[in-house]
Amino acid sequence: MAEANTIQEGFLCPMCHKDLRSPNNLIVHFQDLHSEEQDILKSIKDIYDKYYLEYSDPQEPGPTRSHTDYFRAVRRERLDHRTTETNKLIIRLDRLLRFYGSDRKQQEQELVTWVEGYLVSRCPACTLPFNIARRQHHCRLCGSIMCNSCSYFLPYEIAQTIVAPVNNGSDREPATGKEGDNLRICNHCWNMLDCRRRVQIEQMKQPIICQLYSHLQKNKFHIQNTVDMYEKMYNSLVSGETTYLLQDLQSLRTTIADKAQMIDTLSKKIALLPVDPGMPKAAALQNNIRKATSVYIKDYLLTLSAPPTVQELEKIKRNRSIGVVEDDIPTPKPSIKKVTVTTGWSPANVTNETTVVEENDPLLEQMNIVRNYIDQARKAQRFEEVASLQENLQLLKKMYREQQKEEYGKK
Amino acid sequence: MASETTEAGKMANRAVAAQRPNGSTQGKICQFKLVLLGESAVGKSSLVLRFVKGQFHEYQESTIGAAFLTQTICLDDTTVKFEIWDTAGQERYHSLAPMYYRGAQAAIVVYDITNQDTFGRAKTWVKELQRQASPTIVIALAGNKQDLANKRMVEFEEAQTYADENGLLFMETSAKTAMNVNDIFLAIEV
Repeated sequence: MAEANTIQEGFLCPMCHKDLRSPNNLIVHFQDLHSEEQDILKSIKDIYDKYYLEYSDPQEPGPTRSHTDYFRAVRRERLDHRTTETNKLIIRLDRLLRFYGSDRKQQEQELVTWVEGYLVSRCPACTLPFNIARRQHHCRLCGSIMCNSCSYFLPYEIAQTIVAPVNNGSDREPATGKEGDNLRICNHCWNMLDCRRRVQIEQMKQPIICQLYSHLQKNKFHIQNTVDMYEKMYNSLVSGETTYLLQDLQSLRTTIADKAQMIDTLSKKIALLPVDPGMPKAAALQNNIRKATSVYIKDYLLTLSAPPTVQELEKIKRNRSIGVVEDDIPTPKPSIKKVTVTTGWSPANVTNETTVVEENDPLLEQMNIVRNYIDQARKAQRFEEVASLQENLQLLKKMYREQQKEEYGKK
Repeated sequence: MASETTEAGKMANRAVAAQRPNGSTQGKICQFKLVLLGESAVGKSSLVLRFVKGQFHEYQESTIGAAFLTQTICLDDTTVKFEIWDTAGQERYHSLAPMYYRGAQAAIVVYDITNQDTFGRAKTWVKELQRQASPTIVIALAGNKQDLANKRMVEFEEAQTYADENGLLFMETSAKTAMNVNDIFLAIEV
């Protein structure tokens, strides 16, 4: 038996009082060393079997009770407290920002009572004692004392945004005039203000699609202006004026192309944004933005006339100078309709050398020419042209037959 | 008969319009067959080359038979596809010309303003067209080589009067400086 004054705990052997740390070890130990005590062994086994039976099965949950309401009540109280405290800080901060001049320190102390220095012997934040090297400083917002290394410094610019987040202090007179100046505040006030600032930023933050879309619209607006300028320059250049430089027109076109690329990428990004499955219209909206942008690029930007080449421009200029010299000839009037001229198609010249056979009959000669044209048109995949040329070839053949008949009749 | 075909044409137009209620993008597509006639070396091929490719060759080779070129132009919402037959001016190929002007909606008769004979030849072409070609054919008269106006032999007024009397479109052109080239082709279409 154990001594009355000592209490042992653990998986103890009832015979030798040795702690064996686990039920299995205890049973093995007992079988090895105390095998003669069978009834005790059995009782030990029974105890642990019963234990396993009871606790190895999953337990039914006991009675539950919701503490959410209690939690909410506590939280509300704390939030209310925090909000009022933060608001007080902001009101003080607003006043502090208006202080300037030589009596600033006095004004600061009127706003909030500064804690008397003799009451605080150690910094409340780092617990180190104040002395000549570690001097006392006051938080300008709550008047509490801390050491220099535990002070936080709130820049005036950030303070302005905290006080007036929307208009960003733009309609306020520049409060202190000292740029880059800081307000010394304590850790506690800093946390309160920082918390509020983060909430504000979070609230003002737009969804990513809005950000991308406004970026897209901004670029589109810029493109609109560039295109207007481009058309103005283009019209001026092709009418032979020297107001603008061709290089400028070309670089403007590059700018437009770059911007088009950019809005294309932006619209692609919008279309590929992950969609909340609960909002089926969001996907449609994203795709429509993408489609609208592609149509805009295709119909509006790709139809822009290419800048004239240097040679073309010189010809235009020469043409214009002739037109100026000869006043009786009216210069070509700009047509009211928008005319888009694409480069046309023509087969390579069939020269005398390449004509397959020099025929006596112009009809036969023309048939050869048209056959050659058909081959060229087919190679160029100009199938409408092929059709027209085929039609003509049939006509030529028909005429040739009629001509042969007539000649035969004459003979 | 004629009224029936126009009715059918209107119906077809309406059908096209119905397919495109907003009518925003491309409207109709027209094919337009055009033939160039005139004395040799007045600049028929040069005019076409300028219109189709925007090029000009100082030494343009003489055309054999008839050359074929195409050009597509967008006028507002209408796409016009020109199929141009540029005939050879040499007398040898004169027999080919009727084949090309018979099927054409328009003809440009070209003369050289520095050569009175070519103007006379142009008049003959106009007469032939009025007799032989389709009665609805649009004929335009082009006084080419306007850039050589200092060697002018055919007065502008003379040609203008002739054109007015015969109901022709008339412009002086220059394939070299591109003056009035696109304009004359577009004037025909409009």
